[in-house]
Amino acid sequence: MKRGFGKLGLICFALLICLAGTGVGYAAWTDTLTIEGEVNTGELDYGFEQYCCCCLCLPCYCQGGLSGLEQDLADSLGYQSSNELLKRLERGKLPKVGCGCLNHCDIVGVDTDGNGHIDKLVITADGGCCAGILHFRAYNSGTIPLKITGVNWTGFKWLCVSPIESPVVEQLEPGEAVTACYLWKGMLDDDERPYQFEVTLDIDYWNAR
Amino acid sequence: MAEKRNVTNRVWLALLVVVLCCASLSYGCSSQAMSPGSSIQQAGDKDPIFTSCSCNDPAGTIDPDKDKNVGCCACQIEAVVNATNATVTIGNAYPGYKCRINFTIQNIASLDVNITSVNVTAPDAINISVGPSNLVGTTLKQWEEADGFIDVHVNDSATQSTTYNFTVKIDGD
Repeated sequence: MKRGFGKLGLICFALLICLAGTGVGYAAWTDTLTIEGEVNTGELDYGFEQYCCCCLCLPCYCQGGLSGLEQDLADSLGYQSSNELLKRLERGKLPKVGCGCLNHCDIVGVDTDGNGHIDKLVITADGGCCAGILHFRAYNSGTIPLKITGVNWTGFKWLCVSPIESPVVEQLEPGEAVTACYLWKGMLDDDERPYQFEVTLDIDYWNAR
Repeated sequence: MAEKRNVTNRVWLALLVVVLCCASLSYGCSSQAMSPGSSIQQAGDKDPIFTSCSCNDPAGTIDPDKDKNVGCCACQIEAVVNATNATVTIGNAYPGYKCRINFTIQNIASLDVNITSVNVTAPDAINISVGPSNLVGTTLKQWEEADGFIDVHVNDSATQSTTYNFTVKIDGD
């Protein structure tokens, strides 16, 4: 009589060992812990609002440089402070001087990146409009506090500018605005055709060094 | 008689195979269901899981090392059933922003788990570092925990209104 497992027993035993091994192997599965991260950066942007310009009748050259420009205006208009000038601008009263300036300037806001915020001002002035005042407010249209590091004047190289009130600030919170007022003066010939220049701002993250 | 015995042997063997098969599978397939941070865990669960995950800059707080509340960070263990995944979301970040994500790993398996490697995948605009330095090589016995952290730093090369993704994989064996 044949004793023991026999052929079938061996097969079953091998199967048993395989299954046991599979179970242990499954239990000892090497797993991985995973951390998925998403970093969304905010928006750094600005916009212009309440912008306007007006011509002043001043000599068509930058006599005495930028410091002379302010003095010219003060002498011509008799304003004691930039606040007084701003108040007149806000009331829509353009400064007038004795020569009876008939020239004018146009200002257009441009949304260059199409995000709904005006980020460039284009000023077109008559040839006889040798000098003028540009007034605007700049606001933080982004989600990150920003600083305004400078104002760019481009498009017409014969331009002298001087701030009455500078928009340069170290921190401008989202939604906050700052007021600016500049004098400009073009070095033109008397028969100069209309000229155009553009104004943009240099901005950076408030924490940038 | 011999034939009857042979049949009996086969039946017993088949039964043994079935029993061992079930035992083997149940050892491997023990339930993993648990909530994050829960202390109710079952012996025989496999591998490490996250039991906690938090960030040091939750919404409404001043950013780390800054004087303003600008960015924010949140960490969440992804699922109750499978606590091996966590998700970190950082919002309104900017160059110079940084935060730390703290997490805890627990071994819920009956076997020891050795943390063998940490692999980070991140774009150049984001610096990721994982600590502590002795995290890799740590062996966790059953129910033992290990704390770790991930430091996230947004570089100057990061651009605005952009989404950057990173992945940290912690392998155990």
